[in-house]
Amino acid sequence: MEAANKKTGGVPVPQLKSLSDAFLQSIEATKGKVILSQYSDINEQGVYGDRWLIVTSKFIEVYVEKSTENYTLERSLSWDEVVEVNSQNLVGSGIIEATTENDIVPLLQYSNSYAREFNYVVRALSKMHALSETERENYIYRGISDSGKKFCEKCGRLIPEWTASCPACIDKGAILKRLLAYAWPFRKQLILLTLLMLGGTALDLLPPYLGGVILIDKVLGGKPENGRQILAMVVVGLFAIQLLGTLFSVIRGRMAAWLSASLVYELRKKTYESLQKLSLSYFDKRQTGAIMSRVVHDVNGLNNFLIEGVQYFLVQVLLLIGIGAILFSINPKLAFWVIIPAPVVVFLSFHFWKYIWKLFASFWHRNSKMTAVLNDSLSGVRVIKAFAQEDRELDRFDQRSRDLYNASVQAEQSWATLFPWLSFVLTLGSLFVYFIGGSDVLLGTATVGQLVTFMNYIGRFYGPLQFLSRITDWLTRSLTSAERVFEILDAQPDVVDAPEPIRLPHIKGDVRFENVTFGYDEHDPVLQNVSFTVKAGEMLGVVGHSGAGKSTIINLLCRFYDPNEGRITIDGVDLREIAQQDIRSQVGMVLQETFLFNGTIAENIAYAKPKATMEEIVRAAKVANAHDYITSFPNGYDTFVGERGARLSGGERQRIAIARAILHDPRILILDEATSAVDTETEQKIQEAIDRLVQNRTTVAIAHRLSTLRNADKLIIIEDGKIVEAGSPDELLAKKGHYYNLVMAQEIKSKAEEEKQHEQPA
Amino acid sequence: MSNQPKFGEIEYLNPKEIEFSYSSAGALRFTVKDRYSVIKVDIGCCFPLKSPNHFIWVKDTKNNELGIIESITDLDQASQKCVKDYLRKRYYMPNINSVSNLKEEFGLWYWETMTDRGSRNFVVKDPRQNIINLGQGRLLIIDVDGNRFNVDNYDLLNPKVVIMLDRLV
Repeated sequence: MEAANKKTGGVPVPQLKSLSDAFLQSIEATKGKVILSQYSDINEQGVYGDRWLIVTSKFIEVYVEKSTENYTLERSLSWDEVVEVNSQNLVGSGIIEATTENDIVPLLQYSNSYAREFNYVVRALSKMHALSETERENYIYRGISDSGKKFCEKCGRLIPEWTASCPACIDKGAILKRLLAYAWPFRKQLILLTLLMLGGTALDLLPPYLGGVILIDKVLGGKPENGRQILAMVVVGLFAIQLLGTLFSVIRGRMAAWLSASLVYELRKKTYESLQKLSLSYFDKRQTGAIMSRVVHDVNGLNNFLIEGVQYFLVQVLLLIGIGAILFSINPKLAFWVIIPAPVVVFLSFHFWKYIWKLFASFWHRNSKMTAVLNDSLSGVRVIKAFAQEDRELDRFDQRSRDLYNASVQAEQSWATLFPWLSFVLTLGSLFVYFIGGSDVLLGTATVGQLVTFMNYIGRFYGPLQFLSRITDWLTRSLTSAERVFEILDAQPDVVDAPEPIRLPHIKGDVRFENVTFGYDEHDPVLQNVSFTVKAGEMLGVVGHSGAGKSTIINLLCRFYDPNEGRITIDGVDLREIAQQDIRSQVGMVLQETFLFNGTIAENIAYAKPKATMEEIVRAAKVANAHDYITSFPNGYDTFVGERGARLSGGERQRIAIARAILHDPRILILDEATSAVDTETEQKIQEAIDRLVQNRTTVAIAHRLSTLRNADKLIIIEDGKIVEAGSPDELLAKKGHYYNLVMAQEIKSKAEEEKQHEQPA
Repeated sequence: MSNQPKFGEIEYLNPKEIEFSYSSAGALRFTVKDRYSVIKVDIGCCFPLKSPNHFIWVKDTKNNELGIIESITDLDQASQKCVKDYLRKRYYMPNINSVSNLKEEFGLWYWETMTDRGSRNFVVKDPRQNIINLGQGRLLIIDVDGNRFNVDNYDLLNPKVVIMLDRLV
């Protein structure tokens, strides 16, 4: 399916597959209207090959593609034979199966590259199965709107997910322009900075000239009458240059430090502001570490580029031109011999740095791997000691340490070997000058001062050349950083307020789900056609196995995501129409995994109401059954909870979350497995706190332990994203369906646990 | 199935008493001789990377485990073939025999390979995360789509690829 592409410099890009019109027409002539066709890349023997699933109004068929004009029928099922069509996700691939009256028919296998497409196909097939042949003829298959991957329209490359546009085809000029726009508010300081840098560079160029041509030729060689006077002037000149250079350097350094910090501050603030506005779906698709790296490292990269990089580049170019001009003006013949090795210097520098960079990248990678092992073993030191696995951990560490040792030796030895050779080649240029310049001095066509000046300038001339050989690499790296930061700045939240949102400052609390279908990936629904109503002040219990879709209901109710189909209303108003601020300020949550921010217990309780009085905080903690244990800490409410609440137990954290919710005083309360993972006594305390909390509020509670839902007005039982049962707990028990089975199973389990406890000796 | 195993005990399937076959349509059928037959079962490896031929679980369509086969080689020849064919499909992890081209661009690794299941070009993002060193030169590579590839010993691939991988794993 993929072919190397000249436009992409040999990088393979996918080729879209399609069926020939003639073949489709031939099928339509005999098999009914073609509703959909989908390509698969695995053949019946399980090796890569071309196969097609073709669905018509009468048949579901699989064809093998021999060539673009030659297709062989492999399987054919009429719709009448099919009882059900399913897809099964395997490891690295998937399979579509059709169930018939007597058998299960594996239709075709596909690699994960086509998993999204086939999930859509299976959904369509399930819908089509319920239709008559005539209805199927009118069925329009829309296919997949977003394959989850983006390819560049220009070159066909896969576009990395950290950027919106192809990094290979991107208009570098446009990014550069946009990047420089961020420096625009600081333009005056930047111009001054550049002038100081140029001034400093110009001053830097003078000493070799003064010390060479002037001092040696004019003073020491010429022996003029006022020699001592000129000598003194030269020395004073050199002193003045040094002094001025130092002053320039100090001013420039101080200014660069200020500019750098200001620019980073502005950029980081903008990036963080943009991040906070984005919807949860943005964070679902990206790793926290990757986002952090953009806010920390990429922003720094941009700063280095704008503050140091651009000026450094200018200075290097001007140095090159300046020194070149001075050399040619002093002695064009000698200057020519200095220029000769320049291409070799550029070529060698380019490859040297490229090679060394890769070696050190490998060294850093191994270093981080060794650190990870160290971190692992230090964090898990109790487990290691408890299981007496010190030797094994030592081996593990030794392995990583040895890897690092090898990488370190390779990198350092390569550096130690190659750098002197690079320097050696660079000095070859000066040997030319020594020989030719020295000959000229002997012949009297050049002066000693000229030769010394040349020798001093040569080193400075090759420096910028080395820098310029790496300019593309440096520029690409900076622009890539810029792209990553811009991607955050440009990202648009999926969930946005309506243009004129309805304000609901006092929610009553009627909640209604109407035929809601939703999937985090649109093609893969987690909830299907879910409908229920909770009246203001009622408690709804949501019951189901893990992964059934319970937490998704909560995510939708908080409007972290919008439904794909159907709607959710609060007090009869569509959630999408209500100002998000009004929803979030009146919906409170107590989650299974309580997140506590760095700070004191008091600050964490008052998170949703920072201006809460001490009395309010203590009262909330009392209602949450948290007051007693908080006051037993030496620092009471001022106890610092530490990172992720490490010093508090699960039950203690949970009660802080309840106190937080109490203080928040939401109209709609969400409890997500709030009492799981705690012991029975703690559960009782939490349950008491929750019972107080839910009074007079609409509550949606998810619980694993069904006993905690005994006060619910209504329960819904979810299985595979669908409501399979609904009613009051008593109604559902009487019905002896799913809920009854779950309750019985839990009772048997808790009885068994009780008996086990009784059997244990005291 | 009649003798329910105690909690926590493994129910081994006696290789002499069981048979696997394919239905005419291609579903994997499981039979315990003289006792019962299941029209379609799913089988999988407990240790698909370390020991794909041992500890094979057998489940019915409702995800109930019917038992565990200790070693595929204990089964009769016909059953062995069925199980191996099925697992080959279930764990779609082509073995990379050679790499004709490997190119890195903007953090993405573009591979052109020949596998035991035909030629395949694919892209790997975050290579440090998605090229997993299983030890002794063996690699598990996961591409942008979630397809998996196995390399038995990367030292035997072409030298340019070895150098790139050496720096990574």
